[in-house]
Amino acid sequence: MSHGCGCEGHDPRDGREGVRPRIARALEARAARTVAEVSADPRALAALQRLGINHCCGAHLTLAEAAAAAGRPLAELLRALDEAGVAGTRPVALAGLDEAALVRVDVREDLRQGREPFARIMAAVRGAGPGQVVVLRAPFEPVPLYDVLGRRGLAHWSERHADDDWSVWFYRAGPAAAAPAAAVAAPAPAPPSTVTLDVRGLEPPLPMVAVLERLDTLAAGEVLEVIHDRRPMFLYPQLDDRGFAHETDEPAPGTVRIRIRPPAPAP
Amino acid sequence: MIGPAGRSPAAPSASLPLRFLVAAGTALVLAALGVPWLAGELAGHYYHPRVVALTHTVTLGWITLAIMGASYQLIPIVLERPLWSERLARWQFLLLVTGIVGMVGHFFIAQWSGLLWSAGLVALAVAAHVINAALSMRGLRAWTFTAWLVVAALAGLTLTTLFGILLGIDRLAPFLPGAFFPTLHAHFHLALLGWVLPMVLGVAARVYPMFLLAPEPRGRGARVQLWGIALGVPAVVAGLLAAPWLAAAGALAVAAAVAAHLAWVLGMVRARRRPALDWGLRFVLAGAGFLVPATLLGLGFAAGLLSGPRLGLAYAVLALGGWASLTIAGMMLKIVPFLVWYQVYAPRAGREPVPTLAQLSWPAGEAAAFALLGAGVAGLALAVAAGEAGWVRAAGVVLAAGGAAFAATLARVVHHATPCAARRAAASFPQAAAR
Repeated sequence: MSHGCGCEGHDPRDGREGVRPRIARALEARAARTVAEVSADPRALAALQRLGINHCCGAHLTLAEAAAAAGRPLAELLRALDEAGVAGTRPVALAGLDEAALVRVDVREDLRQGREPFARIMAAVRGAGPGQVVVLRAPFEPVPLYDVLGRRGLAHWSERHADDDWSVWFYRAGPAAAAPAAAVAAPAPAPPSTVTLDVRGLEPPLPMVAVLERLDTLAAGEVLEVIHDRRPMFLYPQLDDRGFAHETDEPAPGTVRIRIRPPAPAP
Repeated sequence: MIGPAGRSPAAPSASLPLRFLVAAGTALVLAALGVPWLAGELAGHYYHPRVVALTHTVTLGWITLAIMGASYQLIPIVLERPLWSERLARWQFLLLVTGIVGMVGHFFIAQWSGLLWSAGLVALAVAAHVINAALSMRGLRAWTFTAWLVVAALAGLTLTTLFGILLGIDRLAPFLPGAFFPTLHAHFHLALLGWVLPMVLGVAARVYPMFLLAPEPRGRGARVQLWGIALGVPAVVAGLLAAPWLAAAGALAVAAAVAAHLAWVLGMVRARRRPALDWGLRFVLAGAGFLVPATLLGLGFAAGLLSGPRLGLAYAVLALGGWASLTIAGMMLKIVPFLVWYQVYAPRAGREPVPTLAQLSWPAGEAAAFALLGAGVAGLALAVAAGEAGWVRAAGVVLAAGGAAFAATLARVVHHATPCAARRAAASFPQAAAR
């Protein structure tokens, strides 16, 4: 079981950059959860007690702070929580959801048949109501999808049932989150001036589709920074036709960055 | 850097490669239909005017048109350079198709002077393609493995064309030194190993990872392929023309390049993140599989262990019909849907639901084409090796059915580009996508 990252099931042979930052972000997110949140699950209590963490007086501490206070490495605490079967893995936003709140999409058969499931997934995401969570069942961890849906404001949480059987929950982590999570959801951060979309590892033309879909929601003044594994020569004319300005550079060998700005509003 | 102001210089037109690919698909169907029709001739010696006409339908009509059409889509992608002139490419298409029709027709009726005029048109078209591709590569940021092999392929194409013209002149007024058949074999191998092989190897290194979702291959295999082709192909051609021992050494170098390519393909298949292979990828991998018997036969001929027109024809069937044709067919099953999608749906993407490539394709037709073409080529290789006209006819019928299935599959995709089909499809995609 893992929490929202590409750390498990990822093929280390591909040597892509970006996986380590993703893991780091996921670890940071886990470490930032409070003892109170984690100890809401009774299975966590034994693990916390075993490591000398007080879930009562120290309930306000983050896991990172609690581990430091107990003189334990954070990794040991996270591992203990993982082994307890809760591990702060299931976000509170996903606790107590009934079946009606879940939009289930099983793409295992599509992939076995060689069919492209992207459209089904995006249709399910588009069709999900404000309080609903999309639960994707896939034969591998769909890491590239995390960035694509992340740009739509969806957080994710993954469960590995077997090496070739994953469930990934996509949910809104902000104020528009599911009702049961509303009490604990943090306010959404202010929109950044630059939003990043990593489309590496997607089969053509999914990178183009992901970029064009994201452009649709780009706010005035925002810059879309696309991370690609090649110069998208077929995307440029589409950007030109829609009036978007763009520039491309290569920050590292094999990594291409395209910065896209919306057209200036008409006077 | 692509500047923020003004239009990008790299706006590729989908209709340009599409016209080449549609013409190539038509040539494949005609060639496949020609096999059962010419079964008697194919069971005999390969240097029969009608067999030579059939061979040029495959090599020029199907393989060369397909590679050139795919180049006009792939040059911007794999070399990250815009095409120098689309207008020149459109003129080139007209010249090439006219020249190929003329060449095949004149071969068929064994009329050499008319053949030479047609070959001249083909040579002009080839010159236009080489100039266009070479000028497109000006200012290339990095001379990658793919870029070097594309250059090698363009050189091979130029030399093959010149060699072919010389052979044509020689038919009218003999002037070439040496025996005729070694010269003919040198022309064939220049085309196969100098034009088709480097182009496929170069493009495969960049395109297969995109579709297999595998890391791009790196390492010593690149040097083996580059040097194997750079040294091996001239040695094979020179050896066939002058010194047989040189042909054997060259064949070994080419075989090493082929082995390195196959090792890369195998590595990409193993490292892929894509769980299921679609039919396009199965075509490509089956094509790679045909490289093994074709290379072994080639080595056998070069070493003097094998000889004779029947085995020679079987070798050509495995190389052109098995490896080159199945590989190109597989790539077309990826390229054509993309081009149609790009032309029809890319302008709508992000604004309304659009289909995926998989929704444009027809897996049942692709499966039928895969089974029939694969079985047909294998059967035809065995049949021509045995010299049995009945077997050739039977294998030809299977091939023709495979060609028809392939053409029907492509036609269904291309049909999306018609205005009414695009409107109908767009209306049905939200439902299809939510299924």
